[in-house]
Amino acid sequence: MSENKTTNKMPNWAFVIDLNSCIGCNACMAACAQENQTPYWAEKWRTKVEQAELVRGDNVGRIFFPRLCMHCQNTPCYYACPTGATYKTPEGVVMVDQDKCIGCEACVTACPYDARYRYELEDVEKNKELFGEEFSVHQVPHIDKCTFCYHRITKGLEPACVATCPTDCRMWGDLNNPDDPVADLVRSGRAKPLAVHLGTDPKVFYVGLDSLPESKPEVE
Amino acid sequence: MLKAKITRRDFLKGTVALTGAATALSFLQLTSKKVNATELYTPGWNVEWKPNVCGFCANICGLNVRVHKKGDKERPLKIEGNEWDNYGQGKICARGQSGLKYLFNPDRITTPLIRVEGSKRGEWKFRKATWEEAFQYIMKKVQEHNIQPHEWVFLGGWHGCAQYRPWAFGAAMLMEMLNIWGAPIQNCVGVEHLGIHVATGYFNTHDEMVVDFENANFILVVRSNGSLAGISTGRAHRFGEAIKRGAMVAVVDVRRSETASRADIFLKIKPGTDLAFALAMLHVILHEKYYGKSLYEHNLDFIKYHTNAPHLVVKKKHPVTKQETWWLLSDKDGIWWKNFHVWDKRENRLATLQGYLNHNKTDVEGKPVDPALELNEEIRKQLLEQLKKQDPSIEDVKTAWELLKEKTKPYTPEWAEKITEIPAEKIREVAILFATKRPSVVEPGIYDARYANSIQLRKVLTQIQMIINGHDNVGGWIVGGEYRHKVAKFWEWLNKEGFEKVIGGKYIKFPIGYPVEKSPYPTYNVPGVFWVLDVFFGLYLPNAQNPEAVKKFVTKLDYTDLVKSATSSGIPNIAILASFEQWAKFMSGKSKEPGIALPVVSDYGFDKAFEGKLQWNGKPYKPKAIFGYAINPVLGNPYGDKWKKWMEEAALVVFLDTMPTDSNVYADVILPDEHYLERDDIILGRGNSHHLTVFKRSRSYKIGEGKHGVDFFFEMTAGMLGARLMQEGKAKNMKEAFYKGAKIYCDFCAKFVGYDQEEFWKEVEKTVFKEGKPFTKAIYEYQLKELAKEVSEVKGKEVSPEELDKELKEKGFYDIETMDELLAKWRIPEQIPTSLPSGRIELFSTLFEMVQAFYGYMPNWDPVCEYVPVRRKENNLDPDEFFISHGKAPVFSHSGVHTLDNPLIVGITEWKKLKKIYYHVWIHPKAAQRLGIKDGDLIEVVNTEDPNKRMKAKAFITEWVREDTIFVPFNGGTEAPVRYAVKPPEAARHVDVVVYKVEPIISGYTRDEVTVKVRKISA
Repeated sequence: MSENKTTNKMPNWAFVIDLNSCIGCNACMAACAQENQTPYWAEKWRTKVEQAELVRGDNVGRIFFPRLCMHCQNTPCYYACPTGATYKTPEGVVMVDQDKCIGCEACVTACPYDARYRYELEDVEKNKELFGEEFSVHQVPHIDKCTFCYHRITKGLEPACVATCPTDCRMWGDLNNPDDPVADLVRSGRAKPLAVHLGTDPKVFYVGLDSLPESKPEVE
Repeated sequence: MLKAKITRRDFLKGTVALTGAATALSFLQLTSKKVNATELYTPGWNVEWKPNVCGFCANICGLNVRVHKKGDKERPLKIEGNEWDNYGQGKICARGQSGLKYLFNPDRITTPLIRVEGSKRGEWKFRKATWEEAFQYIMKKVQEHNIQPHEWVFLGGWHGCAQYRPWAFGAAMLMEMLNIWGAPIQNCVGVEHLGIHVATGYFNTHDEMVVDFENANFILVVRSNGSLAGISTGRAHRFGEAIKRGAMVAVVDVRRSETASRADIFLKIKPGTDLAFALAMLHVILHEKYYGKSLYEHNLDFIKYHTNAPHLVVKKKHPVTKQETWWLLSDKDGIWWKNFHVWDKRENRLATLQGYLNHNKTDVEGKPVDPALELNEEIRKQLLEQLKKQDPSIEDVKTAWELLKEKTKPYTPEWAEKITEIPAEKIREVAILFATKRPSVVEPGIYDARYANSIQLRKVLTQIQMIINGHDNVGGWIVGGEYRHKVAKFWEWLNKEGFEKVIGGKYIKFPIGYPVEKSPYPTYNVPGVFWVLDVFFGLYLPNAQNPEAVKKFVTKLDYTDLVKSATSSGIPNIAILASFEQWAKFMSGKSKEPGIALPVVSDYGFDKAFEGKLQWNGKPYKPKAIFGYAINPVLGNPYGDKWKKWMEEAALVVFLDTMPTDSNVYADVILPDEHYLERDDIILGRGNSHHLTVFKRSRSYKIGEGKHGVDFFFEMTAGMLGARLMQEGKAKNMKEAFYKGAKIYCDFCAKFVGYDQEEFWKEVEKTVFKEGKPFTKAIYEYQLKELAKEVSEVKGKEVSPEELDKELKEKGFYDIETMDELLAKWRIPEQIPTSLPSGRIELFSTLFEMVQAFYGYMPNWDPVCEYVPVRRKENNLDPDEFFISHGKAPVFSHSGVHTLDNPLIVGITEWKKLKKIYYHVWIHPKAAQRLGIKDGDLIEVVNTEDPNKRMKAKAFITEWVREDTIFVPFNGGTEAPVRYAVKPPEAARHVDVVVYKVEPIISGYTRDEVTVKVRKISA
């Protein structure tokens, strides 16, 4: 584990996604892109909702699969980063320091969840055009990823995607809080991490993984 | 109970449990998420929150706009849901989240635009102009072409209908512009909700009831994806909570829609046959007696005492068509029902009930009654003899309940299986689950312009919802607070003076609210279906109650007197004139096509009129001018291609809009409407809240010179009336003329909505004419004072206009009364009547009986229920032939370009597979293989009824759709001159493949009643 290992005094943020109640409305994608000024114009998203056919005999279902950075406690991208641009907050949130990032993509390669992308110079320029020079939060090119909306959660707001999710399939909680029902879902084993065999120890958990076929749903 | 604040976390702890009917709803009220975040992102970025309400669709979810300030710079950066909005509950969809992309969209219209001289309509060639210049241009054209009120066609979208109806409709009425067409009827609320309305009496704006998914154990969704997961956020939120709680969901659809993705039982039905499914459900519940097991005794009481199920109906021949059909046993005042009758088991007698009342517990004299739901044969015989003495033409007598049972008898699941292609045992299973896993709820839907049987379908589904006592009850349909308030106030007025002074008896007849100037009750406040009757019989077809005019039509098929409107010229509305022309042909056997029973706000006959084929007084009745407010008929209407031609040929075309659209590109003048985030709005009612709630938008930013629609109507109407006064020599100069015109408009609107004319005008004089502020500001100031009076009375303590102003500006919403408070005194129909002529929930529709009386019997308006087959080829499709279905993606609105050209929305849809799902034509793999079509291939879809109606699109191969059906995303493929929208053929343009075909009740579009042929063009 990293030296930034969370302590019981700090909140230990975790994310739970209920696959049974996601309706694929994409409100989370829109909320995240607007909040975090991500390059929606270049098909780059911090969070996204995959859609797939789910075949059970003759019955072909439709499944929505929300994805985001897993904020792994055993953090491949963190170890891969040569400059220390990728760091972890005391609460265990994996972040990127834009000014330290040299864009080498070691973290992109290391991430098994495809959660990182390049915020290019043209994206920076485009963002300034869209949000105004003064209000752009991306000032230099860098590797970008979900921050659990760290700027919000430290001010008492929920992450943007959680706050807007119409069916509340995205939930947010503190694993260190014994009274937190979201943490209960994790502790009870109802919510499970994705791809446990990788040993990454994610902080994002899914309810309803058991109802999926053994392999991950096919996503294009 | 809703009052108890149950947070999402409580839910997760499992504390939300059904606690029986007494506890009503437990809609989640989230704890405040906004906290005191006054600084976000980085130090020095101060935050101010501006409450607003979304303008993308008619669900009007509450917003909170985060405006950031940095030095002297200011910019709204994020929209959040507004937690004070008890309907949206702090949740918003992808559209709502992308509202700022719409606000800052460089395509937006921000100044008045006048067509460049020499350019053609359809070309985006406009020059910027001032408002003054634009108004003068319009006035000049009106004078030049001598455009009379009836020569205007007024097109209005949902903004005008749902939010600003008093001011938009008020302007149109005052100017005597009767030819109004808009979203509400044919496209939207009417065609789907009418079936619900005729059984419940609702008709408010949108979502007249809240669907209590959260407390339902079983949820049935028939089509209706757009009003649930596709997406109506307030409903989707409750739906999501229901799923988490373990409620069972059954979805009937032709495809795996977003809603169907969450179904426990998914029935992939043959398109358009849902009515057969619903009738079979009704059959199972009625004939296998799932309505009245001992467990549900209370339910039987509801049917007996609060629906018109025990009302007696008699079989008689139609006086003109001689069809044998059923009628309510009632004494009439003209066409209105003075009373109803039941068989009183208590005293074995024929009892007469009060015409307009909420129950069957007493007779007209107040004596207790025990109404029989079913008659024994001896009584029936005795009763028939008794009735025959008064009216020998009566052939049989039953209760409405018996008739419902009789009519549903043949509709067995086995019968329905042959039509729907759903196994009988599945239908039976769903029916039994629905009836026994109570509380159960049907999703009522919003949009259903698909089949001629849509209205009967919704009526039957409503009957199912009613006979399990699912009205105004936990886990069922809960009446919206605003509508409930209207009903209660109207009921109070009727009992106080209306029955006695206006009607002359304790029943209902219309018009009451027309003419507006003399109305004893504010026209706009007449509730629900009554409002529609009021407009129809007061304004559009007043002579329907003139026996001479009716006789002339019935005996000589001469409709010239009958169709005259209540305007000063008497010139009829185009749809009504065209409809009666068609009825005359139908009744004389010259045509097999019927006319339209209730052509209100319809475009029926517009083709004849615009093409010079409609005659009035021996001359062509041809519109000269078109005005559109936030509407896009070229993309949204089956007449789309014709609208282009009509606009090309009109003398004047004016639009009030925020974005270039497929339609306003044909305008002479485009006036900039304010974006919803720019509006400093008036106080509006939250129609779809279970509380009695009002809201106000506060401006978060302003770009350009857009005007609030209501300010535009004020200025335009005052100006036009002023010009008329000048012509008549009643004003010395334009300033005086405008002032006088404004006074006429204000007096009229004040009367229309029930304001004190004098006080309102004082406010307008002060705010508009002395202080130079907008008209909407004057309305707001007046509304504050009125609201303060009302709130003070309700709360029993003094609440000042200033306090309300502060609340509204801080939170955006204000709850006057909660649902619990409202339900305690005004439960419908237990405590107050419905807005139907009987006042009860109607299992036998009085309104459809009225239609039957006018035009003869048709299954479409069977007052009880009847199967209406789909009007298209049903079997033996060619290998390349398909049924067609259409629907909406959750990221788009029905409003079209505003979401289609939104860069963030487009960004989402461009991402990977979503493009195919949201823009392409869905085809089943087996069908695709048969036709050699691969995923992403360019295909052509051709309408088999009119091969000129065809579209090119891309194919999305998926098993989510039936093999015999293609699914086309609706409202895509804009050709407006905008930069972000995905254009055809990458985005299917559904309107290109649709023919204009309507059903005979309200001329609802029946877009899916056709087959299409599909061929591959290229890879």
